[in-house]
Amino acid sequence: MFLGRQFLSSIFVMGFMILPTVYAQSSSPSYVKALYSLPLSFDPIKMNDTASLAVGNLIYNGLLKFSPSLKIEGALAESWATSKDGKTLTFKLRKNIFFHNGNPITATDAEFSIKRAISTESTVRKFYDSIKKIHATDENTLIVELNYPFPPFLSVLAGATAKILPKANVSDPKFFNSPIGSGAFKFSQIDLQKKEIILHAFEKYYSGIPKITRMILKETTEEEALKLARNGEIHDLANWPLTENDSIFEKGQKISSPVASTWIIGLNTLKSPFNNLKIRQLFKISVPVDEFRQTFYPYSIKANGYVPNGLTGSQVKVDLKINGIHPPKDKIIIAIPSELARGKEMKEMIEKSMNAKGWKVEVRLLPWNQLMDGYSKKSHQAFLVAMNMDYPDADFLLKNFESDNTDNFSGLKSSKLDLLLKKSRSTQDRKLREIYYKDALKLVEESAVTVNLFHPRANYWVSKCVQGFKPNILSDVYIDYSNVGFAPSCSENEAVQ
Amino acid sequence: MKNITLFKHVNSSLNPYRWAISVIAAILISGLFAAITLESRLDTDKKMAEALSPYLVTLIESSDRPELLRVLQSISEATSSDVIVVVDGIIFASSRNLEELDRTFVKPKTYFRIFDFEFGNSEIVTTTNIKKYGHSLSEAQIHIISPLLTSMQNTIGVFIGAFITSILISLFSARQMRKAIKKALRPMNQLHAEIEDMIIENGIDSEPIQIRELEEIRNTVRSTKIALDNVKDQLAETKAKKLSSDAYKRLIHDLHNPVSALRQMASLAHDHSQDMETRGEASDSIPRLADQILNQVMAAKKNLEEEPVAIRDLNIIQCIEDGIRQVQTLKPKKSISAKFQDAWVNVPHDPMLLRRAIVNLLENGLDAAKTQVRVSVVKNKNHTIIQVCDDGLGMDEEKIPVYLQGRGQSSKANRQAFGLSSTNHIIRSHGGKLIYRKSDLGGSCFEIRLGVI
Repeated sequence: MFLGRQFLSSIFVMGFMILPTVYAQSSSPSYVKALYSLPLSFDPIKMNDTASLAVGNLIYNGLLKFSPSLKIEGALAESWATSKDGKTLTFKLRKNIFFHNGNPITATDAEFSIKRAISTESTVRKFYDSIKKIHATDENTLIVELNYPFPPFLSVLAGATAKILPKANVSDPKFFNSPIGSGAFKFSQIDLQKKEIILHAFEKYYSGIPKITRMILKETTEEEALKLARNGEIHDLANWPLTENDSIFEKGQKISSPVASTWIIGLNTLKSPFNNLKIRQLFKISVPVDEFRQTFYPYSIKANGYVPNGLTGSQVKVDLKINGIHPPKDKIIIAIPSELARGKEMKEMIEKSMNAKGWKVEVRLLPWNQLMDGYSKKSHQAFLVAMNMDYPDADFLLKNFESDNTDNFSGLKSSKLDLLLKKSRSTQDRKLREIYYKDALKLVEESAVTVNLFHPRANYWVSKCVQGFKPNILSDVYIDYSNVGFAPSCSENEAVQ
Repeated sequence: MKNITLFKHVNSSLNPYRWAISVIAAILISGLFAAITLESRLDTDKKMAEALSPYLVTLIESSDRPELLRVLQSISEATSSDVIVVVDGIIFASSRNLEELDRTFVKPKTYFRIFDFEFGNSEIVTTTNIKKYGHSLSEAQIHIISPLLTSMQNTIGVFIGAFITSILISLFSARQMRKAIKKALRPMNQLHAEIEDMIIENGIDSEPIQIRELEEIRNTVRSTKIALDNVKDQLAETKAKKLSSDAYKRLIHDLHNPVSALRQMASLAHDHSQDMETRGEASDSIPRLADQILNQVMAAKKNLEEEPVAIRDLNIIQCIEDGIRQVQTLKPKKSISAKFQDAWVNVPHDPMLLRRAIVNLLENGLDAAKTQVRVSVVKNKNHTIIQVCDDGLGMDEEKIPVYLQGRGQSSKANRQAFGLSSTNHIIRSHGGKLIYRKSDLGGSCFEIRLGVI
């Protein structure tokens, strides 16, 4: 789950401008991709924000990867096999695969990297908690043993945090200042003043030399990014999935795709009055969900439940019927990011609607860092965030509600839910797992810890000169840039810098 | 009119039908094969979709879009088609484009429908309701959109292949048919040869014809010929008798005067009441009259020998021209001008005898002519008239019957003139008449008048 960053990046309205920059070029045009933020970390096991993951996906490579339609394909792994009990996975690495420093990639590097992911320093180790043992049997063979047959594990390995690093170099304390991976692009430099990262095409990339020879990742605000895009100085605004009718689309290409994400208002069961189930349920059905969606995000997809459309569990919908319960007299504060472009309108609309129904609701606009701080400390009563997914399985979202998960924003404790999740992870039967998921999601819905607002639809903008840009329905993090390039018909000037 | 062989006639008569039938049959067969190929191709897609229905239902019910996308992608790669799953009118999964997911499905515009297949501008759409346990879920469909051109490639290939094969078979069949026609007409040729042989009387060793009708014709012709030969013999015999009779009658008639004269001279020679001179003259006349009678008998005998034997319906102009050529070779100093109404005048005649008659008239004409002889042929409703006229001095009309009877004296030698008598005899044996007229050229003009058949 990557809370809010991606979502917030589309709604930041910054009060300063960055002057248009003309990027130096060597021989061929550079591809300029705007980011709402430079990566907070270059270490895959510490990435919990979209910008870091997006950059990480360009520099690093994993054993597996997602196709645009979420088909799991081999990346560094040429083939893989699962034992009959589903507990042992054997990966065969490709031959002649290299890190950016020219060293060959071996199964030992893969073993080392995945062991890092389950180490205590990893912030994403919960994704890998099904791993029992991992070991390389030879240069090209890696065996992963699981505690239980966890079918989504392949999706975990295709995710953005399961990247292979060179074992020989990671111990260098400065390694992540100039990271070495095996992704389509080599890290070249980072200019903190210009807020730019320069990448170059990796000529030994396993699937062929990328079409983009030089890529500039530039941190900027949404507003500034749109200006630069209009001036032809940026090729790619994929970091900001825009609304359907944005005027920028008059100039470049609009590539639209659903994304596996749900906007929710999270309810904290640790805070009064949401420690009362009936109050939460009443609140859940009182929020003007349809009005909110139609007013602010009319092109989004109506949310049936917590899980995004098109994933197992998305059809779970519970009609809560509350009788004899009235809104409490307690004041309820809903925290929403102040960077939202129409945050004030949202505040007015929600307050007006809820108060008319007898609630004492205040929508408070908080800067992103404060909102996330309160989220971590579980100090908010309610908060608006976008729930994105790292792998396309309901398990990813349901983890948030496990009793022992420190990331459980709702504070919900349900032994029944814990048991259902345990059962779902220990079966290879797709249909049975679906039943467990549905039961678990039904519990989540009945627990009323989320008000599901809508599932967004991403509208990516890229320059008209860009070719081969294919969205990924998981998120923009997984867009494969190794096949993206410039149209031959576009001149260098048109293609920018 | 140009003559063609019976084979060519039959062959060319059959040609339009043969080609039309061949082309129509080729198109129909090719179309049938092509339709079967296309139907089979599309039906395979449909059956595959139906077979996958239970699995697809599971994926739809469990809302497992990633797995469904994988399946559709796989189907798409295998069939080179776009595969779209629509639930409640919304695209739930698509192998075509991720951008259209969760949007309303807009079916491509189609122009016509054959069975379950809808044909659009550039695609064929096959729609299958997704079924579960035999029950159709009306709200969920799988649409397989196949590119028209790619789908039609095999179909067009099969069409062309079947068309070429059909045409080749037709060509082979036509060739065999030509051979068969030729073979079938062989008995006709045999019949033709048989009839020709019969005409030239070589058909003694003829073989039976296999075709019953032709064999009957052959037998009919054969029996007709035998009958004709018999009739001809009978006719010739009858005619010979008649001619002999006529000849004797003419001879008796012609001998009446000289015999009377001889009798009178014999009577005078023995009549002592007559003076010696009269009796002497009478005695002198007796041997002359006896010679004359003898000559007349000899001429009659000669004429009997020249009876026509082969009267055929032939071009008389040809006969006259042959006569002119024959005479001109012998007497080139005087010219013979020919004037014919038509180049072809068929009259029954014996060309050898009639030519001899014409040659006689031409020779007489040339002997008598000062400068020229003119031959003309005129045909009217009842007769064909041949005139041989000259610009000579002409003849004493009173003596014409004497000459026609062979009793005239030749002007070139001291002998009897049999030419006109012979000519007269030939013409009469043809059923015609020889008439003398004064020529508009100033001399004689003999007119042969033959009846028209």
